[in-house]
Amino acid sequence: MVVHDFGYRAYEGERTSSLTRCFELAKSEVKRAFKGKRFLLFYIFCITPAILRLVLLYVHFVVQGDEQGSRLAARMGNRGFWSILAIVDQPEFYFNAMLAGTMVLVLMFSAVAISGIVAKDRAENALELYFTRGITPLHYIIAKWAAAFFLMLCQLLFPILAVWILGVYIAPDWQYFADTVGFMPNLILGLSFFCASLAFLATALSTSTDSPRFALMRWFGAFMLLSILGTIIWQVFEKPELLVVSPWHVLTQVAAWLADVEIEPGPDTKWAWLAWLGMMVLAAFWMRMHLKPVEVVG
Amino acid sequence: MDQASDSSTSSTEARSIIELRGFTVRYGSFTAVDQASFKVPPGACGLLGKNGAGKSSILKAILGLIRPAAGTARVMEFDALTQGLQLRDRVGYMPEREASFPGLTGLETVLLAGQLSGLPRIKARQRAHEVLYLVSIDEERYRLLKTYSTGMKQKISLALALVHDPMLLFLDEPTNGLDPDGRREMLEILASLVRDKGKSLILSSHILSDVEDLCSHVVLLDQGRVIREGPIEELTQGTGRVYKVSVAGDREAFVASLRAAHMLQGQGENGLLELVLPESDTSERIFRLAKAASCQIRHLEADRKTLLDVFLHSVGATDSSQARKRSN
Repeated sequence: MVVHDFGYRAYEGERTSSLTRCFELAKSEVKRAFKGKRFLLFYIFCITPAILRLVLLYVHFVVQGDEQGSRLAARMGNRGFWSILAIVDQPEFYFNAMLAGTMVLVLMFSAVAISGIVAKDRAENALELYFTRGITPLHYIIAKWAAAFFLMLCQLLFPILAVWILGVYIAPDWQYFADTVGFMPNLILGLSFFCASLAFLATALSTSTDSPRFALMRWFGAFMLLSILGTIIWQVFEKPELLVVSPWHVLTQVAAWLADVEIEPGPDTKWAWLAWLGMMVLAAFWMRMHLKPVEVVG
Repeated sequence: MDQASDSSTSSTEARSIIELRGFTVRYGSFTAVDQASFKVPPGACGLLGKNGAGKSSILKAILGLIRPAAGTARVMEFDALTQGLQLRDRVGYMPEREASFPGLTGLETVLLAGQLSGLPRIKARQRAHEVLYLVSIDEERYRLLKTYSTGMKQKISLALALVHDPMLLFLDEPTNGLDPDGRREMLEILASLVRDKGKSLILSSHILSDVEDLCSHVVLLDQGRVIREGPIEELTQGTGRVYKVSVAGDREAFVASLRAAHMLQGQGENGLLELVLPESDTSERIFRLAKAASCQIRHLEADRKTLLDVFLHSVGATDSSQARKRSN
């Protein structure tokens, strides 16, 4: 056999920083997620609330803009679905599209995209490869969290920003821009905070299993069950603060407070913040306990 | 210590690429590596031992995957315990178990490994292609890694260890699961890395022939302890008193004279006579005995031990010394 040695030579250049390595790892994770066509279709399905908001903006600015359209709108009145048209210039129009009443979609997307973000690596024994290179477990976790955060932003923030920009574009004048630009920073902060928190929880939980499927079911099931449990005890005892048992309600309440949006039902903001802090500390401990570079030794 | 011995010690240390002192690895109450101390010179070195002897534990502890309970480890110019990050940029590791980054092609896998070892993106891509060419992965590099055969996965694993141009490679059972052709190919690539590229490698294996084929130095481990270490050439050297001889002429008379002199040890393969020289004699005595028996010496060679002999002898010695300890 001929041993090919053409081209292999010494590397004498500079080495990149830890931050660059984290960035490359996170980028690779995001690229890998969007590589499959099935995932892309699933992603489009998961951002349907944003697409529907775009349709509503079109109806508001274009259909209602002409005579026939305005007559139709007057006939429909301010009922049901059409009532949303009354708040197109409110932060709730955007916030509710993603986080209120869309829990199943958010949980489905996060379950598929990020719940197994470390479990997949553990299943393929990749941790041994990562940690025998020039990165530490902390770099690894930062990169995985950043990738999960970005993927959640892709579902919750970027589509809504695109809708807003298109809304400004199809609006007949700059009035819509002037009415909405004020609440956008808060909205971005709220949704980003929600995505970052959710990504941290998913990354932390994902460290404790080497089965991506189990990680997915546990993520979806735990959020749903705790949400149902929280809702039941809230209804029974009529105390909204009891909703702190539900991570979903806690995260949305904190995000709503940051976005300066009112949502119902939800625990008191102070309780929500305390619960959020507790969850994050627990998640950090969980991660510390479970992230081990070597699973089998000999 | 006088000045001459000082300078000889420092030159030995300068030549060693790895130096372990009192290195101990524990998993709970189980001691996997017990007070291991040895030096490894540049080139190819085998870590040899039965399963569970502590070979992989030593590699993993040096690489920072496991925290050693005691001792020090110096690898090249780095302290493995305090300069792990810098060290890992300069060494390559091929794990025993199959390991990959999920969902990537062969090329993407090697590219990412290069980037994680600090290569800029363009350089990493260039080197990924070069190293895949070196390990003979051609068009398959664009396929998902999960579709590869075991042999190809082993090659990718070697490519991952090489992409960032490490000076030293840690190879944990690199021929595991390979068919004879694949094994031969892997050993050839490794030999060419040492011979032509000046790389040093530590080969952890329980396959003696792999170590014997590739390495010039060996560390023998048993139950977490270093039982022998040194250049293979030295370890397999006989006592200088055992010879294999073939003669032409009156063989029976020669055999009888050897018996009378209590020198005959046995008759080996191809009719070679195995004989032992007494301490006070030189090989000239064999010629004298042959002449007296009207024979001509046609073949005379000092008998050498194989690595297997050394290993079994060393393990046997450890076993019996431990048995003695237990009985006391």
